[in-house]
Amino acid sequence: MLFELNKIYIQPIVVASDPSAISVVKSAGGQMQQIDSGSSSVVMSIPTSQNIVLRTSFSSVPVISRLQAEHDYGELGKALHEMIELDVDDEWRIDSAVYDAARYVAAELMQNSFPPPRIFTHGQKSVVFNWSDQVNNAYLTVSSDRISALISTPAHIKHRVEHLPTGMHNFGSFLKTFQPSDNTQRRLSMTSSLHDPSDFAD
Amino acid sequence: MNLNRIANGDSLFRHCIYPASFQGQRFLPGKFFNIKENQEGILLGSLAWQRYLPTTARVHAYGCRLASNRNKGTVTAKRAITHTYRGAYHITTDSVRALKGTENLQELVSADVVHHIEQGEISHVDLRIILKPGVDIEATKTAIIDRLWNGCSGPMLHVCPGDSTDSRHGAALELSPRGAYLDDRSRITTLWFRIRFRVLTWIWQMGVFRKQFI
Repeated sequence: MLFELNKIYIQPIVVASDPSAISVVKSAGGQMQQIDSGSSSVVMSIPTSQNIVLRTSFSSVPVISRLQAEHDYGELGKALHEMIELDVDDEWRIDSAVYDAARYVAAELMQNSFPPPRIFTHGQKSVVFNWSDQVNNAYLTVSSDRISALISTPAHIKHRVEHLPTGMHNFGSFLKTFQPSDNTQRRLSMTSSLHDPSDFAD
Repeated sequence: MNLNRIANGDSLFRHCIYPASFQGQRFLPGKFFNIKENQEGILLGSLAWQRYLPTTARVHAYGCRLASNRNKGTVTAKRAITHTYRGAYHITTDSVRALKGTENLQELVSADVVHHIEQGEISHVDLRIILKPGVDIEATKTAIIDRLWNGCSGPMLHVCPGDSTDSRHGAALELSPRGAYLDDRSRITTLWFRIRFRVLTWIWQMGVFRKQFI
């Protein structure tokens, strides 16, 4: 799992032969601490502990994440294709029209930098794309002629939106309403779970 | 005494059978409840009633029988399927009946659980959901499954006798949103459940239940 840093605490450490001789004096602005080691007259200025919020991941991670996402979406496409070739009575079989719609949706999701979802079916008439973390769940139910979105928490269903495109060509516009808001860092994750689906705009 | 009525607050169990609820070795909550539409347009699912599974051992025995029955005649033209029971999740009748009236889930006319002996299993219960006409059934199924999953506790893991002792067996089930299941019945309550189970099962075996359910 990718572990992302977003805060760093600077902790000053002083090594002295006589700790009792150490005095710490804060500057007038409170931004720096001055340590006087007494007889040795060594004065060091160090910044106070502060939080540094890292707003972006290390530059190499998005590249790796995108490659991983493309790989995962490729696997998803293969899985969807296999589902139309299953036996008629197989629980995972889907209709070819559903496959076409799901493949298009998957392409749009990848294009819009969504992490690769889990997929499941209710039967032959739909495929469901699912993302979840420990609190939130998001679903896209893809049928041959419509797409429905749902966001929920354990306590309740937060949002449900239905998209009835005349053809699927304007699904991309609908998907933009399902994207994270501007004040949320949008990033690809190494996992298939959303970190903060509640940031999705209505 | 109405032997068919499932009281509010009663405990139910949903058994997890591999590979039906899995994608590879990955457990899928969305496939777990397996809601299907019958010819009348009613959404149906299956659960098991604690009244006839008064102990954890009987809960798991039911699951093992379920998997065993599915293994009879499940070889398809393309692949052989071996069903294995992995464990069970707990849910209450309240969680099911509360589907009707759930915010952002207005498509339901009714949601209920009905005692229905099936394939010789007295503890079998039908999950029955009736939808309003003209609704998007697929999207509604997604919403229903989401709410049912969020009403579950568990899993209660189990390996049936004779099943593989592969270290992954049972480990793939996901902790439910409500957390682990805790059987908080008192000893007296549990004893009463066991006695009642014995009496009711005896009555059933004597044919009285068969007349009532035909």
